[in-house]
Amino acid sequence: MHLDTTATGNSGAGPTVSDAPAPLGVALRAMSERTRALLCWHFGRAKPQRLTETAAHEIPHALFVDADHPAARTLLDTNLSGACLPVVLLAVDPHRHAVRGPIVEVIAKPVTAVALARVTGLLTGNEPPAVTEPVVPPPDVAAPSGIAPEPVVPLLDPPTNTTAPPVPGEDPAAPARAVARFDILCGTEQAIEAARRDRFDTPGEGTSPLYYDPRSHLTTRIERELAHSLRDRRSFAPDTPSGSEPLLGFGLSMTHIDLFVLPELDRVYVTATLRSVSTARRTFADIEPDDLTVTHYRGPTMSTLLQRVQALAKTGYTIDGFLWLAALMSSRGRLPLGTDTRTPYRLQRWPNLTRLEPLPDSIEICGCWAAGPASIDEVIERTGVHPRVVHAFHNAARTLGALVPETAPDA
Amino acid sequence: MREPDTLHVSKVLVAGPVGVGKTTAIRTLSSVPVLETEVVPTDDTRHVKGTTTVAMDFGVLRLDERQVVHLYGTPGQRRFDFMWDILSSGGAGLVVLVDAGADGARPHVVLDDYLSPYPDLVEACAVAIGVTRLRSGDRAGLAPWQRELERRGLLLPVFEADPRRRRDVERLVRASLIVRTFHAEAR
Repeated sequence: MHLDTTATGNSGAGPTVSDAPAPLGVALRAMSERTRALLCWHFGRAKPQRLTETAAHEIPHALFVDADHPAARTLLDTNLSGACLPVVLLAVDPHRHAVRGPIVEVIAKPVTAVALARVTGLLTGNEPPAVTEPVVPPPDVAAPSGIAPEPVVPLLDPPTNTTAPPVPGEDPAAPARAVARFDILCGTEQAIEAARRDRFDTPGEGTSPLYYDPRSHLTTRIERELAHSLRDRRSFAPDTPSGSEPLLGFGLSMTHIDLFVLPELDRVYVTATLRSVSTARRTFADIEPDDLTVTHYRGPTMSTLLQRVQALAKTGYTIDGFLWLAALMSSRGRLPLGTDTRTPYRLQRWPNLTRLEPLPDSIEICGCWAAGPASIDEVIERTGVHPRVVHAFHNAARTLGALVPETAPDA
Repeated sequence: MREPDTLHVSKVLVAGPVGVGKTTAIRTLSSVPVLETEVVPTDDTRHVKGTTTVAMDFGVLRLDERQVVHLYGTPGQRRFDFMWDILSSGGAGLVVLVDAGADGARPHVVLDDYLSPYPDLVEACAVAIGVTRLRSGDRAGLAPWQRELERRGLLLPVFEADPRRRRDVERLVRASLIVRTFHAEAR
């Protein structure tokens, strides 16, 4: 039996990015971060890459504009009276927007890989589209003035290689969401690589690309409150003087979200969905003590509190499930200050990966640690998994108590 | 021209008590029609389910371009345990499915029953435990199984699993193979 855990991908010869002409720079304006991320992902997945988002100081060759964005109208007017760059419009209803100016194409939202491939072909002059979506309304609809259906002159020489055919029926936003979520779980690949190369980036004061201060994150605060809650319940005696009631749970209130932790039920209820990348980022970013209000709930029975909490909550987790998620998102591929990557750790138990936020290669990482005590560096070497993922797993598993430092045997 | 990569075929057994979902798990994973030996039971099993496996189930799981797993489901009933020996020959991994409700109170008995016939696989740590029918309100969760394994000095993957969910069952199969690989390297 052979199970290759160190494979790094396809090693077959093939066209490389360096063989292709430089991608055409385009500006992504008047659109949400989600749409921007989606487009960037599409640009990046084409081999060779033929479009790229320009930096702020660079002059773009074309504009991508979300016609439904409030700033779109002003931006298009400014473009028309100024640089007059070719525009690709994104719109839920392509026929609703009567826009003047050099419109190359109108793409119906949700954006599809097919539509983007067609637009790329139009902009770069490569592979004219076999089937075109109407850039003007169909004949039975009054044509809005100013939309120019005439062909656009290619802006670049055709690349030597063709783009891979897009996957039909793919949810265009799903890959971008997955990439964004992976980055907030495991950090940015290049940043972690650079930080690990730079061994002067040793644990010290403040945070760095490789280390973070866990004291300023939600996970630590919850752990502290859970410990307090456990002590309180252990020390509670039913025949204490009147007015004293058992601690049923606690709430953590932030400006944008409320968390209700009920240790007795092993539940954490949250008033917003943490599937949203922006909400998750905000919730698990560095927090100041003033950013968080803690409320302790005492009472004779759980049922009333539970009813109130469930009425407010949008989603619920087990405590382990929430701590795992919080640890992943707080660390973002970094390590807690003071962590030595050469210290061996021992796996105490396998986390229930079925119920936890999925982390790539977690079976490989866990399996490596299950075989015997190993340091973070050793696990990275043995599994071939990227350090940011191993760091993230280390933090999450330590938060659950599944991974503990190996203590030297007594002499 | 590039040589095609070698295809690695592994054999993984799926064991566990009657009615826990072994046949369902293999059906969920298999990319080919599953070979089944289902018959109508004549013993007490008939009160549990309509048909039962008497010899084996067989299915094929393609893990990736280079990894194929042949899945062998063992009969759950003790009286067919002669098949366990036959099927275990050449096994690379073992997935034991257990029922959180029916078996949760006696994990030591169930693990004795379904681990002891495969000492080589247990020794190689090529085993993953899937706990099925775990209700969300079940506070004990996986803890009884983890404690029992700890008592035996085994650090094996224990995951909640729904035999009807491909991701759950595939995770168990992968885990049984991967742990074995790392243990072999560590020795």
